[in-house]
This record gives sequence, C-alpha cells and structure tokens, in this order.
Amino acid sequence: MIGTLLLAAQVVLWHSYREDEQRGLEAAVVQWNRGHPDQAVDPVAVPHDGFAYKIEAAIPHGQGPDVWIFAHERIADWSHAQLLMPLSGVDTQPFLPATVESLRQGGQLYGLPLAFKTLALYCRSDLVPKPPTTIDEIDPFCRAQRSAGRFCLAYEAASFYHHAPWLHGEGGTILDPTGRPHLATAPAVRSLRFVRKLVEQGWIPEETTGALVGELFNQGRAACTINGPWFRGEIQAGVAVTVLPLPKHLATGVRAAPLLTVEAGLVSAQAQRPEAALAFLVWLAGPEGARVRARIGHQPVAVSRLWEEPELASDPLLTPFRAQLDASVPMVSSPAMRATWEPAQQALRRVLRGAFEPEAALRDADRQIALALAPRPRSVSPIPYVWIGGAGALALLLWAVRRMRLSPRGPAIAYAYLAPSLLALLLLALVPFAVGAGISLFDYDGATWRFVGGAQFRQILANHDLGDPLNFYFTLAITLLWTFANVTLHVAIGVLLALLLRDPWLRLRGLYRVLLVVPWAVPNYITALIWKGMFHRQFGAINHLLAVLGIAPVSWFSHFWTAFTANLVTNVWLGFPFMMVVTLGALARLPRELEEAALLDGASRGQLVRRIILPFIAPQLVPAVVLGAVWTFNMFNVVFLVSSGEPDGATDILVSQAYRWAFTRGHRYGYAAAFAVLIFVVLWLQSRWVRRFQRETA
Amino acid sequence: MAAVAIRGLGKDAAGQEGLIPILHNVSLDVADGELLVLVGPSGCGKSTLLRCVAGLESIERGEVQLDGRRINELAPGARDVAMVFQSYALYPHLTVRENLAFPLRLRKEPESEIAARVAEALELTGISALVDRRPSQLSGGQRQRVAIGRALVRRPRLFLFDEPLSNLDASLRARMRVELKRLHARLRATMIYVTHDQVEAMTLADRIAVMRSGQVEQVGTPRELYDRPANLFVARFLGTPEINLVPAEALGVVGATTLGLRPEDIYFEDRGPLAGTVELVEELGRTSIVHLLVGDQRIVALVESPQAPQPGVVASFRWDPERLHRFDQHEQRIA
Amino acid sequence: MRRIAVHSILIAVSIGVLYPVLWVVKMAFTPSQTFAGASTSWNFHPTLANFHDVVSSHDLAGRWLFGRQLANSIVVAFAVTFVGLTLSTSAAYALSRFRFRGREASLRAFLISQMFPGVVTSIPLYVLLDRLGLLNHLAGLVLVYATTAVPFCVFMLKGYFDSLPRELEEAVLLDGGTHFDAFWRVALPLARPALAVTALFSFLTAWNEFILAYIFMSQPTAFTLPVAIQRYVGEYTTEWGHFAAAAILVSLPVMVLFFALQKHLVGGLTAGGIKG
Repeated sequence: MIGTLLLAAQVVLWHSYREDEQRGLEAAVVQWNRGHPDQAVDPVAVPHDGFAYKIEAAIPHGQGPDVWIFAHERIADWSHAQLLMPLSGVDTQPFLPATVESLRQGGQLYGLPLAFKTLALYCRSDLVPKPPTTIDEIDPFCRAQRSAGRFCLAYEAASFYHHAPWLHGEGGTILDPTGRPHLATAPAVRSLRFVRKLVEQGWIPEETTGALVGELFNQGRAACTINGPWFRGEIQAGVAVTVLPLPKHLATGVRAAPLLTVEAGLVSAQAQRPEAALAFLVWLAGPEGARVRARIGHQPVAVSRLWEEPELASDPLLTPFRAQLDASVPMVSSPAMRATWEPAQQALRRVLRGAFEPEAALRDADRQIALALAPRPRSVSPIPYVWIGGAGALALLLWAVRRMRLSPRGPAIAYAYLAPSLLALLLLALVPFAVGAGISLFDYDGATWRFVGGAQFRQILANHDLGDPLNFYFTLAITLLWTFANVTLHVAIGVLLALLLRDPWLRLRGLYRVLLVVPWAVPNYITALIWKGMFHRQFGAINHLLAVLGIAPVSWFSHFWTAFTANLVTNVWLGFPFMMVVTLGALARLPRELEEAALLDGASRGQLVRRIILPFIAPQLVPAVVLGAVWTFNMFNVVFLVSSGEPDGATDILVSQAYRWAFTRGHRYGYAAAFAVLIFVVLWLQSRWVRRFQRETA
Repeated sequence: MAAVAIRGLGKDAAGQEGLIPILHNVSLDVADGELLVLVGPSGCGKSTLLRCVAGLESIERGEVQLDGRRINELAPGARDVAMVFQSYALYPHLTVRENLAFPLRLRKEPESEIAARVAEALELTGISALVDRRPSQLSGGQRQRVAIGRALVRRPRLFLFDEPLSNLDASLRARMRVELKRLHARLRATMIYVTHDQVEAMTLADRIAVMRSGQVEQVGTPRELYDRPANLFVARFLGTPEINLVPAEALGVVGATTLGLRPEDIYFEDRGPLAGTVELVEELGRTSIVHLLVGDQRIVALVESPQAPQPGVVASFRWDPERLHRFDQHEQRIA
Repeated sequence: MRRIAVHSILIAVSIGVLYPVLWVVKMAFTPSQTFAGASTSWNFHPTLANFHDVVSSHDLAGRWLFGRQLANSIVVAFAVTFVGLTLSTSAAYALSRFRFRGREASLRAFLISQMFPGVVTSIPLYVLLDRLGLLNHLAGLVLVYATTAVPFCVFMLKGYFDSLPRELEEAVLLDGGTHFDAFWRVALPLARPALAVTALFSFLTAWNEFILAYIFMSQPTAFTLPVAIQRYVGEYTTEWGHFAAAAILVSLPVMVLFFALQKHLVGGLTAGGIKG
C-alpha cells in the first residue's frame, strides 16, 4: 500500500533525521501521501556528515532533492549560491516569530521552520531535588554535588556553542552591533573565568564530548547537563529527569542565553515540481505536519499554537525549550560569524587547559578572526597567466616529446596492455587533478568564481611567522615529521611481525595473521574515535594503564608532543597491518635455499635477517613505502578525528588545513585548492628526491 | 627435420657510447640432422645468436632460414623450434606431466595424442617415476631431464640448447653429456647447442663453430678444428692442457711469427733438439702433465706417465714437425 | 624456548591490537546507544538488539535497505577487485616486460595520481561522472575506486613480475604460445602472493570508502554499507550501539576474505622453477 504510493513519488525529500525525529517525519509523510497521491513524497534518509557538501554538489547538476531539511545557518550561503527557491505567498503567521526571522535573507523568505534547537538544563531528579535557577546558585550546588562524589554539571565545556550561553548571560555578544566579531570584551572574560573555575574546582569533567556527557549522566556520575532536545533519546530508561531553562543572573536578571538554530524545510531552486514541493512543505511545517512530528518525533516544533495543545504543553521534556526560546540568541549565518568559530573555540580551550589568561586568549582570537576576514585578493586579468601557462605547457610538451624520442618505440602490444589503466587514470584522476589545480587561481565566494591569479599562493607562502601554528611552513614541518615517523614505525612493526609470522612451524599462524589484520578491516573512522576516547584525560584507558604503572595522568591533547603521539599511535595501529601483509607477500618469494645457505655459513638469526632477508625484501617494499608515505602525508581521518589539530591547530597536517579552508573556515575552495597544489608540489619534490636516493644507492 | 642457414646476421646493442655490435655478419649452415655446437667465451654472442634463431631476439641485419625459408619475421612459436634453457625454465606451478603437456596444450593437440607423446618423452628421458612432482621437488639433473623432455614432446624441426649443463656438477654433467649424445644419435634431429665448455663442444658436436666478439672464427668438425685451428684464438680455445705458443725464432722456424705445439705432440728423448727444467709434474693416472721452463718460455707436455721426467731434472724433448701449427703476425694460420 | 618467546610477543601484540576493537564489540552488544569508551566495566548484558536493528533496516516503502546496501557493497567491492586487478596486472606486465616509449612517464603518472588530495578533486569528479552519465550508477563508483586502487597494485605487481625469470615466458613463446599465454598461463599464476595482496587492497579500497559513495549516490538503495553506517552519526548525537554493530558487520567479510587469501600469501611458488 505504502509502496504503491511511493512509486508515484513526485517530490523527493532529503533529511538526516534519526530515530524519533525520523519516525515522526516519516509518519507525517505517510499521512500526506495518503491525502495527496498525486503529489507523493519520497523521504530519503542520508548521513548528516557531508550532507551540505552533497547538496552543494548535487543541486547545480539537477541531481538534488526537491525539498530538504537543514539547520538555518547555511541559508545565507545557499541563497547566495542560488540553490534555494525563495518562498513567496506563504503565510508565516502560524510560526513562532523568532524561528521565521532566521530564515529570511535580504528580505526574502527562503524556508519554513520545522523545529528549533537550543540548549536547556537537564538534571537527574533522583540526585537533584532542586536544580539551580540562578548562576549564583551554581557555586553551592556544585560544592554539594562534589562532596557527594559527583560532577554537578557535565556539558561540552570546550565547545563554543555550549559556552555561548555563559557569554550571553554575562551580557556579552559574539558580534558587535555592526556585525563584526569582537571577542575580547569584559563579559567574555568573565564568562571564561567562570567556566575555568568550574573546571579548576573539578566540578565539571574535562575534555568532554557529547558521548561522554551522556554516559556520565546516565551513570549518575554527573547530576546535570546542558543539552539540547536531542538528548532525550540518550537518556537511559529508568532515569528520571527534570528539564528547565538555563539559570539567570540574579543581579542583572539576564538569563544564560544559548544560540538558537532553526531546522528549516528548504525548496531547491532546481525542484522538478516546485508547487508540489512547496505545498508539501507548507503542510509539513504547518499545524498538521507539526502535530505528527511533535507527537511521534518529540520535536520542539515551530507552530506557536501547538504549544498550547495539551499534548505538547504537558510534555515536561519539551516545554522548557519553548521557554528557553525566548531567552536565546538566533545564530547568525554571516561569513563573519563562521570565521569566528575556530578562533573562539581555540581561545576557550586555551583558557580551560590553563595555557592562557582569558584576556590574552581572546585578543589572540580577535587577531585571527581579523586575519581570516582580511579582504579577499583582488581580481586580476587572466591574460598574462594564459600566456605564461600556454608557453609553459608548450615547453613541457616539447620537452616530453624530445625525451620520448630518445627511447625506442617498443612493441604495440605493450601499449595495448597499458592503455586501459592509463585511460582510466587520465580521465578519473588526472583530469580532476588539473581542474582542481586550475581552481587554485580562483577565489570562490560561495556563488561565483573570480580569477585572482597566484594571489592565494602568495598569501599562503608569505606568512613567515613561524610561531603561528597556522603558518604553512610550520604545518609542512609537522607533516614531514608525521610522515617520517609513521612510515618508519609502519615498516618496522610490519616487517617484524611478518618475520615472526613466517615460521612454518608456528602454530595458530593463520589465527594470528587474521587477528593482526583487524585494524585494517574495521573502518577507520570508527576506530579513530575509539582511540580518541582511549586518550581521554580522565576516563581514557591509556591513562588508566599509566596509573597502574604509577605514572600521573597525561592531558594528551593539551601539549603538542602528547597530541602528536596520540595521533601517531592511532595511525601506526591503523597502518601496520598493511605493511605486514605486503611484507608477508614479499617474504613468500624468499628462496629457502638462500636462507639455508646462510645458516650453513654460520650466520646468526640476527645476521640472517639483516644480511639476507632484509636486502631481499627491501626492493619489493619500495612501492609500498613510497605510496605509504604519500598516503600518510595526506592521512586526513586520523588527524581530524583524534587530535582535531589540538593544541591550537599545531598537530594539523597540510591536508587537514586544506580541509578546514574548504569546509569549516568558510568555503574558500580556491584557497584550499592552492593548499592542495602546494601539497602536490611537496610530494612531487619528495618523490624525486627518493628516486635520486634510490639510484645512488642502487 | 630441418637445415638451418644463417646469412650475414648482425645485431647491435645500445651501449653508453652509442651502438655496440653483438653479432657481426655471422653466416653459418647447420645440416639436417646435424648437432652444431656454438662455443666461445662468455659475451661472445653465441647465446644471442641462438636466441635470434629462436626468435626471442629481433634480427636487425641478415636473415635466418629454416629449410630454405626465411623465418626472420616468424614469431618464436611459429618457427617450430624447441629450446632448453640454462635455467631450465620449468613452470613452477605445474607438475612434471603438466610441464611436458604444456606445449601440446598450447597447440590444442587432442588429449590422447598429448598423453601418448608425454609418455614417450618421459620414457626417452627416463623420468616416468617423477610425473606428479613439481619442479621444486626435483634435483638438478631431474629438472634438466624434464626440460629436455619438454623440448622432445614437441617433435620440433630444430632443437636449441642454451648451456643446458652448466648448472650441474661435474660428474652429472659428464653423464648428461653422454645421454644427450645418445639422444641425438637416436633422434637424428637437427640441434644447435651453445656452451662455453670446450670439452662439451668436442665430445658432443658433429661440427663446432667457435665464436669471438660477435664473429664466427672457424667452423668444422671437432677434429678439423683441433688439428687445423684457423687462428691463435681457436687453437688456444680447444684442447686441454692448452696449446703451447712459442715465438717462431725460438724453434728456429722461418716464415711464421708464432708456433703452436699441442702438449701431446711433445716427446721426451735423450737427444732432443731442446731441453728445459722440469718445474712440476701433474699425475693424471695414465698420463701426466709436465711443466717445463725453457729459458723464460713455459712449455707444457702431456705424456704417458712412465715417460714423465722427475721434477727438478733438465729434460730434453722433441716434437713432431708435421704437427707444428704456424701462425703469421695477424695470428692467422699459415697453410 | 624460542617458540614460547615468539608466541608471547604475538599474544601481547594481538591483545594490544585488539583492545580498541573490543570496545567496538562491547558497544555493539550493549543495548544502549551511548559511548562505552569511558567506562572500563565489562559487566553488561550482551544482546543482539543492535545487530538486529542494523540488519533489519527498511525504508518507508518496505525495501530491505541493509540487504540492498550489503549487496551493493559486495558487488562494488568485487567489481573493483576484478576491474582493478585486470587493469593493473596488464599494465604492470607491460611495464615490467617491455621497453617502450612513454614507459617512464606512465610509471610517474601512476605515482603522481596518488599525490593530489581528494579535498579538491571530488567536485570535478562529480561533474565528470555526471557528464559520463555514471552518476547514481554503481559502475561509476567501481571505475573511480578501481582507478584509486590501480597505482599501488601496478607498483606491487610490477615489482613482482620484475623478479620472475623471463625464461619462463620465453619458453611459452617458443612452445607456440602468445604473449597473452605467457602472461595468463605463467606470469599470473606465479604472481599469486602479489595478487593476493593487491586483491585485498582493492577490495578494501572499495569496501570502506564513504565520502565519494555518499556524494555520487542519491538513493539509499544505491548506497554502500559505509554510507549506511554513517547514517548512525547524527547532527547532535551518535547511536554508538548501532554504529558499532554495523562496523562489526562491515568488518567480518573482510576478515573472512583475508583468511581465505592468506594461504596464497605464503608458499614460495617460484622456488625450484629456475636454476639448480
């Protein structure tokens, strides 16, 4: 029945909802489809990670959805890039005004509010009979909880999103009235001092992630948490919870105001049937759709009058969010705001780990923001570049032809064997590569490409401040160190284990081999996260182990060398099985006679390995080592997931910097491409050097 | 079976200073049923010549004919020749039987025919007991037999051997040599055999071609080459102990520059024309090798053991003037 | 004595290696969706609920998503292994056995193709696949993955072919075989250890890739398993139990494959084929 309805789907809806929210949405869609078989909707659940990127790739090519659901902070970019259809003639009366306002851009409405997300205070009813309602109450409350052996509050203290309420509570703002970020203000300093005290007193846990918060809260090791409506799904059955708005300042009466995010239904500018898409969206956002989503999906929906209906009004986990809405600050989606996140977060972390005083950290953050917001390079005429590029290409071509002439033509069959893979390589690797390299000469502002020539390269290379971790040369040095350390350890461990596993009389050889290859088999984005957990200052297995050995716990991500080590350990763990397998393959070719002869000649086992086995397998390992070095150089996942560049971006490698420029520091694709070209140049030089080295030692 | 004709064959290799000739205007004939041995020091081009005949090397100048037909452009597989490699080149992943059957399978012979011919080759080479083993489970001599068997099974027009015995130990080599000789006698097949070992050449060959630096120095039966070497190189290359070469004036011979005297053509006699101090005597059993010093000239003689003088004495000797080889200043034989 | 030492080293390393994986296992068997990394307790009631949830995922139309995604993953991974090995064995054989114009340049092109970070190539690739009409087709994914895997496979196999004696193939030519016979009947069977390594590598390249599969495919029924796994990571929260169970389900076939391939990694096949 449902199936036949979906076959006639006219409107494709993309969303990344999970669990309750997904169930709520799908129930609403089913209801709509029943009433509108000719305008049926097909809901497509996609991963949240990479959703925005997928949208930006798909819609300009007519591949995207008709309607999709996303947080409002992208609306500025997307409307600018003309991915969104402006909504006209829609009655916004039913919606909570704050939620609609966030969806306007230049006076145009670009989406309809489905739900809003903000933060509130969750407390365990069994542990907290009377939750604090003012900031002044927090102090005694935490002391009491501490003496009961608990954290009073567990929240992601090092995330600027979670810190924003305290900043607003102190009367501060992120952006000044002109819309420019300004962090070094007295309220901001006060808010940082306040949180630092919470950490120093041991009232709140350190290095908290969302996962850890949930666990501490469920286990009763934390009495309260600051969290959003999504936390509802994480509360274990049987845990009684009270939710209330964040506390306020008794003296000023200002409430700690979290940032407000509106989840919007958006219509694609390329929608196949825009009127059907809009009709569905109006229904879904409106009272009928919202009622289903609230009832089944437990969403804090944006339709004002639903909050007066008993179903919502009597939900003790939802109503506090409605109250909190009035004391929240809508998230601004300007480029200025986006440039603020990373420096602000960095300042917060520097203060929390005691490395900086709040004033200094905030001043530094302001400086970095200014740098990121520095005017984009001017447009230049592409004509000289075309001439230089054309001449260069011609010279290269002539040079290549001349070199080619020197070698004999060779048999036609050789080309037949080689052609398919070269063709695939040319089309699917070298062409995208050339396009990517071309992009580095352009500046992208989210919608249009402007030719700026080599200006972005100059910008990257001209920063000589070696003390700044974002400096290219510093990151390059780190990347080289990272590559060298990893490859050395991969090879050493891989070869050692392969040698141990070679012994034909060793029992359980097959079992060991399979066990030792497991790190390669499990997808690395999950094991990298496990490793990050294992390096946690308070709860990680590594520090537990060190404690057993009588070593004081280490704050792995607070210092450069420890954070680097954490990344290294993770990546070595991930990478050695590959080298082990390659070495096993190479060892398989070792003629037994060679070994026997050496043993008869009286070689010790050590000598056998050093003089016979290693020289034999070395040439076979060269390709794996060279390519392994290239891959490690560009190993993005581990750095991004384990240390995330902490402390202060010092452990970032070139490719994670490029990624940040492309995705998190605003969409500076051109700048990221320039980074990528530089990465390529470095690798290319490195490979030439390796080749020379090989030739000299051969 | 077939006759081979090689006409003006030439081939160059790219060296560091331009092209270096590996084969230089080589012409040779191999008669039907003949076993021709190509012999020469390593690097003389004999293996390259063999590989040109096989089709494994391209021919740059001249031509190779098989039964009067030019085969330069023919692919190796189309020439109907079989080759036994120095390294045997057995297929490691196949058993002995599969190794033997492989060439026939490639030619899509019927299975009954394959079985019969494999059995025949196994019989001929005496390895029937090893059919299900893999090459790694065989000894060197056994591998050699498999390699020969794989060539036999094809019944080719021409057999090519590229130093097939050089990886075997001395006694095994001697045995295999005899077996090869016997095999040739039985099959009467045309064979070209490459070796750097002059004993192998002498014992196996119907005719020998001696090569040096990409050129054929002399072709003939072992006897002809031994008795009438065309130049110093050939003279020196064949025969153990090596031929004695002395300046013509030392023996008072005019009209020649260098004289060659085989050790076995020297006889000790009380009133011989020359005398020398006996430095050393190598006892070989029936015969002995006597090393003499005549002035500052070393002379080696091979005599029946009872005739050998004692070390230390001065012994006089004579030689058969009929068997004296005369060479001019260009090292060429004077007829 | 030595054997005991070897076993102790291997057991110690295996424990160290498996420790992080045990957390994944624990999360997978714990009914809750929270992260288990912080608690060191192994005291819990294992259930298969997470596995059940993951395996039985359906979409609104009643299509069995997990089944289709598993099938997609298997099809793509095997196709990539097949296409990748086909392309790379023939290329590696040519590079190893023939001297021809452009040989050096091709070798360099294979290496260079690995150097450009994916951050900026995915969009051009998207446009390209769109033009070729391969967007939303598994075939497009297969081509892209195979191209990614080919350079390593080529280098690995070329090194291996280089070390195989040429006489074996010359023997084939003399025996009346073609170049292809030499390649197919002799060089390939002898390259088994290298083929096993490259097959595993190609398979894993395809099996674990997430971001391109996600960007290039628009239907959940066309997703591969890594994309499906990523679905358990939400904007604000992660369903760790489901995430872990899915990760284990994804890893199991790889382990089985490796177990099947590992005997080919050893064996020294060429020993005895040449020389005495």
